[in-house]
Amino acid sequence: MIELIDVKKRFGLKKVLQGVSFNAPRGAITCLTGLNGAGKTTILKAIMGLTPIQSGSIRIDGSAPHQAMYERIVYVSDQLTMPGRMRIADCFAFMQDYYRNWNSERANELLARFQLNAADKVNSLSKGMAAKLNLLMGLAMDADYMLLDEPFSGVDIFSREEIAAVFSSDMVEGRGIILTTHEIKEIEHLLDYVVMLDHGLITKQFASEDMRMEEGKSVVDVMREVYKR
Amino acid sequence: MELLFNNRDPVYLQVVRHFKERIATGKLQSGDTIPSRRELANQLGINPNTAQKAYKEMEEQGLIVTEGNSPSRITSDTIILGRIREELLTEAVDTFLASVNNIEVPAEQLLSLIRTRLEKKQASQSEQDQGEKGVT
Amino acid sequence: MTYWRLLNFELKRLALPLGILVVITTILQLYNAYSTANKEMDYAHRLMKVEHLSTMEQYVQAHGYFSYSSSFDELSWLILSIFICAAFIGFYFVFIWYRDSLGRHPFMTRLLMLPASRRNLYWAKLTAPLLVMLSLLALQQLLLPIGDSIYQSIVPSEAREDVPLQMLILINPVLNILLSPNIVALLLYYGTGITAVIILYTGILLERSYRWSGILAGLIYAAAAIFVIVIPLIILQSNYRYLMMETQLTIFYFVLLAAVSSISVWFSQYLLAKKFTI
Repeated sequence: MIELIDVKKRFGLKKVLQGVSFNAPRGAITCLTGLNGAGKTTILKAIMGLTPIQSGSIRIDGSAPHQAMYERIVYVSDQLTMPGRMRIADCFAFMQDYYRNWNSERANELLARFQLNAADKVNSLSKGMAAKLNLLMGLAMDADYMLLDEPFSGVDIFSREEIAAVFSSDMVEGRGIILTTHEIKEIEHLLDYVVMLDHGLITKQFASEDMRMEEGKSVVDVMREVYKR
Repeated sequence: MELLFNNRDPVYLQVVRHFKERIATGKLQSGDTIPSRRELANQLGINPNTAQKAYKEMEEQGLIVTEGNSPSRITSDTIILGRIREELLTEAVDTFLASVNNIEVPAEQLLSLIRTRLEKKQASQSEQDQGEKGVT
Repeated sequence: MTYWRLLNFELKRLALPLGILVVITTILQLYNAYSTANKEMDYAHRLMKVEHLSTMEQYVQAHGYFSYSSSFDELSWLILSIFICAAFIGFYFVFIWYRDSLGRHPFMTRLLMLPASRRNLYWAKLTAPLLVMLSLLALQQLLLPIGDSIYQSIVPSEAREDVPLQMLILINPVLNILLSPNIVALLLYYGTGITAVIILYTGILLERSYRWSGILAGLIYAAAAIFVIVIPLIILQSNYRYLMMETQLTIFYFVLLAAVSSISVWFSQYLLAKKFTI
């Protein structure tokens, strides 16, 4: 389980996170949602040690994150994080070199599934292909947790379907997933937990099935209530 | 398998209902094997946890049985299977009644209206069937 | 293991610029030898015509010997080649921290997430440009005899005074620092240079961690570090200089360099591990 306990973060004078606490269990899909600037990406980066926090704590399966742990937690950024001049095959070789849990077989399987070409250079990829390559590189690691930043942003409808299909496949089974997005509509039936953020504060968090069962509201309904105020 | 979810009812209950409808209409027969929860999640585009929850619910309701490691099957218990049709119908009628409740229509008028609408629909359906046969 | 992989990775990215610098340096240095020799020969022949001298010996008797070393004591192609290399490496010491953070594909994110201590990243980014610098110095050293032999092939032996290669280095103010034959001086220069790079890295990491206020902190830190290092030089200028012998001062200087470097490395690694912000 990934736990955030009263996490606070400032950028200069701007309070980006103002005491955020939530849990994301293993084997479930947790969605961080909120308008731009709500602090979604910052939370993922803080978990990955890509940006320091001022106070509060982050625990992964009970212990503080440390560098070696980033083999068990994978971060899929909304940008490609490989040098533009690398070919996809070079990216795979790079990952193989540094990660013991890189699963080449799955990487190649996904390459075919997403119809990407191993000889293509990173900077020649379209937005949709880049998003797929990003996701692929995350999925190809046998990790316990996966953090995905806006996996659907700038992605066309067909790529979106392909990406959504991954979340209902055995590739994510048993993993703890945190994803950020502000486009809930098409994936809302995939989500186990929803954490809603606004200006660095959690405004609401709930289990989506409970919300439907107890209040008869969809995640989108709740979003409307929360953000349209 | 196609299933369009509405987002206001729990997804797992919608999956259970989907199975019930297929059983009631005879598309799934007693003793048929059903997909694994992985396959189901994949087919319906839902989270494997939700598929798991739906199967658990169906097991609890006695709709499906799982023996050891073999795939789950539709129960051969005819009493349970018989009840499904009844349950679905009752549920549908209840929903219908709830929606006409506001109109405060007398029972007799409602029943006769239902009868005429139903006859008209059946007639147009059989016409359509005839037409289709004519083409082939 | 991760360090060697990262170093290899950084060096591969430097291969192309290194190749270009090698070509530039080689061309400039050899051209220096070639053009110096030719200019001298033209000059000699012109004078011989004017003064009606028939042989080189007569010319040498009248005007003295030529020497390859004469092209080393002035601003020349040689200095230009060194300047180009130094400018590139100086630039790269900064660029190496920014090239992965800027642009559309922030590779730094990936580097920071590698499941091994970030110290490896620091050492790789420190040593890769230093290794390139050392290779260029080795090239410089290698080109001296080659340039010399080109010179000798053009200027006949009766007209030239051959000087040992060591002499060439001593004559040139820049080479005298970079390839100094005095081991203590060499350690002094290189130690100072590497310490400067280490301090620069701390400044850059402060900027990467705290942005604008980091720049200010970096400048203050650098000023403080430089002040500490120059203490022996201040002593040397002061009335207290007689309290210490030169060797003592040198040792003191080395101790200060080592101390400032160690603190800077530790501080940089702390910033990279805990404060670096993407």
